[in-house]
Amino acid sequence: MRRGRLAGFAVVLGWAVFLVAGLDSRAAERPATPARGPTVIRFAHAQLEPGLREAFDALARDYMAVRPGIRVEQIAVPRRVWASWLRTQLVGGTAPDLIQLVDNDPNIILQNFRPLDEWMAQPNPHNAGTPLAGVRWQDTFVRPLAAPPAYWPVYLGFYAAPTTIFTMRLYYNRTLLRTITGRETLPASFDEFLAVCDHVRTWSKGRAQPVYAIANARPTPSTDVLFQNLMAATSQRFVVDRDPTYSLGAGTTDSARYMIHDALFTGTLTLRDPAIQASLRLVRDVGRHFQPGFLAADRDEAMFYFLQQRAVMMVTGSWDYPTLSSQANFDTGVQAIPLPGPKHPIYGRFVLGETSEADMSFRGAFALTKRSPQPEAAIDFLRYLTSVEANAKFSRVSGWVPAVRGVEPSDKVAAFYPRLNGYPRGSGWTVGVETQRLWQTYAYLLFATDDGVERLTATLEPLLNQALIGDELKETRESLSNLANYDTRAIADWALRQSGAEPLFSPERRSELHEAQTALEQAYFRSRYLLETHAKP
Amino acid sequence: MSGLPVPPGGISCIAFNAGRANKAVECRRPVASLDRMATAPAQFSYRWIPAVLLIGAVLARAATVEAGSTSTTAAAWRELAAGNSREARASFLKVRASQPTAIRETQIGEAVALLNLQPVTATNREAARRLCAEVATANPEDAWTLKARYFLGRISELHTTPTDLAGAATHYEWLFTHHPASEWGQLALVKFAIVQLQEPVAPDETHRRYHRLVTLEPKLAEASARRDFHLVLGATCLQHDLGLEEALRHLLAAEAAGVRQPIRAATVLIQIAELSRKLGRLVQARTYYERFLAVAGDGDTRSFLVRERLAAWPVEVKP
Repeated sequence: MRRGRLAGFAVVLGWAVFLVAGLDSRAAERPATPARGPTVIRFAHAQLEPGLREAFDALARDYMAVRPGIRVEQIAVPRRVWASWLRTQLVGGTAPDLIQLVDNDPNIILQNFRPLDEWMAQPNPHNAGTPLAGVRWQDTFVRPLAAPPAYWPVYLGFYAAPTTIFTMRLYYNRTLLRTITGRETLPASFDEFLAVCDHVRTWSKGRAQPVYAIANARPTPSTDVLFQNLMAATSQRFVVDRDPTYSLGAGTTDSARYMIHDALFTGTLTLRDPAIQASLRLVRDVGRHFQPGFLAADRDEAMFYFLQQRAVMMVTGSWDYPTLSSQANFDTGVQAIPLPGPKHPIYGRFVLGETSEADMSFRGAFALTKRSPQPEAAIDFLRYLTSVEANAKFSRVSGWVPAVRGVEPSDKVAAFYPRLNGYPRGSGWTVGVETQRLWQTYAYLLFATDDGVERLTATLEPLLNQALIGDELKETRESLSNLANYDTRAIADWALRQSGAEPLFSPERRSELHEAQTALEQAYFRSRYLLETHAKP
Repeated sequence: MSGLPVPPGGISCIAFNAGRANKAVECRRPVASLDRMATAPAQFSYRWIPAVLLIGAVLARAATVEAGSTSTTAAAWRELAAGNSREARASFLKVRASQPTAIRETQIGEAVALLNLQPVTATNREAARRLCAEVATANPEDAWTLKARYFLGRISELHTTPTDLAGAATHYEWLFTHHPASEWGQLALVKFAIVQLQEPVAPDETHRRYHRLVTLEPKLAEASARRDFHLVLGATCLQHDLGLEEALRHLLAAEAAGVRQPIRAATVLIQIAELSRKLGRLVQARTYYERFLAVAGDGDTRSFLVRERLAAWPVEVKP
């Protein structure tokens, strides 16, 4: 009998061991263990512009007053070491709770960050008492979160909440402008703008310290803002009127780019097309007012020209406003990049009008790391950052545009607020890395001689097709890995459902996955079709 | 209770005597008095206790193993979905070694992991193909057979160089022919349409394939498959000059099935409006422009242009 009891006891013990072992096998999926003591939320970003750290500090202090048991720590990392710092933190398991998605690198999302969908579907409690009370968090931003860094269509989920929007603007030295032209502001019309540039050139002639109308850098993908805007202006009508998909340009910057790419690739558009020739003339008209040697200058050199009052204007993003306004010892004005309108005698026939900025992307977006030991607390802080009250304060202190609906931009940032009343954007002929490289290499031809437009066109013509093929191949390579990713998650979701485990997706998200994959797959094969039918050896 | 098989000699149990706290005592009673057990616990036979516990333990072990299997394969699938292909593959191999019953699932899991491993190699791709082929050809068919056929199609379509679109079409056609109502049969219809229409063939052949695909429309049972199928055919009509009327018909069908992604949903509404305008169906055009504005608001670069169009709309077609 004793043996029987022992056997029973052993079985019970064994059972307990099985259960414990079963529980323990899930330990690796758990987030890091929270440290003892008060909850500490750490968030990291790469925005070292003046005012940003102060703004985040102010919000952290306010938040700690609201949630006394929580301490918030800000980690500001210089941009140049951000990538290596981030990698080290993520691999080493020491990443803070919230991290800014700086480069929109799709390769780090799935493995390191948690989807925010469940939280996004709930109201932001910090909006209580405001018009956004009871509104889903995802619907509290100035435009739908439909693209990275907030929403990732390829992963079908929200991965970050943004704090601002970036727009591109023309900054000008109001003091210098007044001295040279007697004007307080820049004119709105394109020809008058060029007249101001001419005025600066004439005024500067013979002076010991020459002053140039516009400071600019060589056309790298990140600095080629002004030229790209000018080139896009003259393809506006093409994109809307000759859209083979009947979608008025399909509503995104990328869709216009694809359209121009396809048209160039299939030959329905060539560099000799009047619209593209006009774009090159337009670039030349403006580019001759840049400082000498701009094609070798980097962004910092261009910035020095402006800050040292050796140039009246420069084009950069809204993120530079705090830097420029704190470092410039002159009065700075800001306005939209001047472009020819539809009534312009030369360029007007290619132009619809001012472009809409409704597709401007969100920035300053923070994502929740998977290893965060206190996801709920971290999300609560993120919700606070993106609440009406906190985002208004953030905008006021940082000088950045607010991202939250209903937050009135302060006077000093109102000029950066996206323009919604405008027409769809066009696209330049530099539609990818390879065509951009071609432009960067041969742009000097446009400004070297009087017949620059013809010289550049004749030089590019035999080279363009190969560059377009390179861009197309790059697109297809990227698409392929995304298509495989969709397949992987579709079958994982199905297998989990089959086994009775919690699936990856709701039925709606699952449907969205198939829709997104179909669209990408079709675009992928369209690219391949173009390559096979139009690529010349 | 009386219907249960009862072991000879009665049932063992453990009872606790109030006078001798926590000390187990053995009790024995005749099998015939089972129904009275509730009122006569002192008559339980202790000798059956280990047997009951053993059975319970075996059941518990089975349940734990099953749960472990689910959680382990589930963990592997989640690992795979999170992009950790190497770890997922190792997990699938581990499960296969311990649970022969899960072999088909782990074979597919390993195949998908192999297709995602970096760097991409022909060796991994062929290993994935072999695994899928093994699952696809095994008898009897089960749900994994469909997955295997689907992934054989995906390997031919997306992972093979040069692409074998005809081979992919064969697998997809098998799926929607033999399992038209299944989730994967429905998905295969969409993939079949893509590989058929995007293969660079003579225009006549594209047209012939298009018309054959149109005959497959009645097979579309699921809304998402119907939407995607019509989106593919609608785009093809525009790409290969198969007619604006046909393009419009497909877009209307896709829209009715429910387009989910906001920018795409807005674009489909615009496409319907634009095609309707082009074809002279001004009332329909206006309706869809207005629906676009209702959906997109100011958050779309086309909103201003559409408002402008509606403001200049011919008076006779205004409601």
